Amino acid sequence: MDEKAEQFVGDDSLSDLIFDNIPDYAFIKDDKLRIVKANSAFRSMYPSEAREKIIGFTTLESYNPEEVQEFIKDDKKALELGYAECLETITFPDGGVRTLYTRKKRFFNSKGAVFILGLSSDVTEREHLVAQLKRSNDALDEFAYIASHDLKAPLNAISKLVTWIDEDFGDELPEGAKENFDLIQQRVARMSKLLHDLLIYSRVNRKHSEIETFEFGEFTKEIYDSIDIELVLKLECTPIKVTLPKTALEVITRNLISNALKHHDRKSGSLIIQVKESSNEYEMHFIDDGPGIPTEYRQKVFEMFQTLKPRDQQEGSGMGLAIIKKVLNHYGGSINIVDSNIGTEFVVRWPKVDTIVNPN
Amino acid sequence: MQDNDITVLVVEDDDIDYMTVKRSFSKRKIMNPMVRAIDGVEALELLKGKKIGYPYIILLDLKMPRMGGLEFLEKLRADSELKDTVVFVLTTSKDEDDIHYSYEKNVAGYFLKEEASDSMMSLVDMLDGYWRIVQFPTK
Repeated sequence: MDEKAEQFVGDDSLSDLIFDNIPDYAFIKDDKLRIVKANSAFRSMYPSEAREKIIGFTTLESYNPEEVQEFIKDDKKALELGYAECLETITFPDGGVRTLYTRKKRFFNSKGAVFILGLSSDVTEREHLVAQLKRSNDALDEFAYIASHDLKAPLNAISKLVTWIDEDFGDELPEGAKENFDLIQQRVARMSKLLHDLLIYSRVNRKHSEIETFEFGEFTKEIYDSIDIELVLKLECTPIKVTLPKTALEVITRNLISNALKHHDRKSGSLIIQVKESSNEYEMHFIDDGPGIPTEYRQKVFEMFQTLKPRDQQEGSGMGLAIIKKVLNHYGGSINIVDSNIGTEFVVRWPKVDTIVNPN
Repeated sequence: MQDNDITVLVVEDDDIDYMTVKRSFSKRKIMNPMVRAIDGVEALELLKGKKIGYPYIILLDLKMPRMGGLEFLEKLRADSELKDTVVFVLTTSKDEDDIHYSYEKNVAGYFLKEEASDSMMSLVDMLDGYWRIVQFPTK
């Protein structure tokens, strides 16, 4: 058994097999930049009649002269410093244009001669998707600006004009006209709030929220105290130290507490917030004793602009839970409504491991 | 110098925003002459053509067609005759870059057009106090 294993390791045909089957374009160049070995992926870049003239040649004449300057620069850098890498857009000898992520590493053979091992991964699709994503993010930023500025400006103007009519001609206006002007003001304020929340929705997660360690009970109490709603709920919260992105958690906690207050149907009640910590996540329960959410709407309430009452009865943009869901998606967490006999119980799950892929 | 000698050049593309400024001044019974330019291009024309009685200050909006406020500031500061003009920015833009750039171009103050009308009144009161006591160089 041992004997066989040793034989196997020493077998050149295996390393040749691996080299030849690497999906990347793999090649080895000598110090004169001549290709001395190339795998099948690399050879397939060349038209079939040129494939005989790869090994032993620089093949530089097969490429665009400007691109060649870059190859040579990187080859020399690898020979001098031991390593070079770059992202390059190459016109292949067969005419195709591809984006490659190329790494070049210097090595010496047993006789001390210097070579470069080159590995090029084709990242054309990836780079294309990144560019596409960047374009749509830019479009989103532009949209956010339009929503905040261009759409709000005429609304403010309407509001001002109605105020001026009231200031200048208030005494002369019949009661019916005044009532309708009040309704205009109310709708302007609502539209303004819708635009504001839409803007928040589009921008949420664009700013990085720092992970901090803090006392969750105190944090919750502070948020509760800052919400300007007349109703008072008895707030109970687990005292526990948590380590989470604080600003993002605040968006969630504020929205859930203010929902519990806003939608409560009695003069007093309670809001219990329980936090359970396990090895891989935090589980937070927000339990109120309000009117509850009927089972059939428990998915729908997380949609954008979704409200369960006419906005004339209950002012609100219907964006709160949509914003929460978007924030949690970003951090790999989740929010659900669980069955309870009384009121509403939200469960927020927040993984401890940062699942955000952050290239920086 | 009489305080009501100071002219206010309002560079503002939006009619209602201009009306807001006018109403706020008349609410405080401020009678200073007021001239309006609808964008940076018209404002520069008025200033270079000496159509605005000296002394004057400028209330400048940023987002305007043809020439916005920032470009106007750049042109104003590059003009040897006009570079010392007192300019207050009055805009809806909360953009940090806009604020930085404006002060780099030596504006006397950057103010936001808030939805609430009392913030506009505070600005008017500030200006009212300002030109009661300010001294301008003679030209």
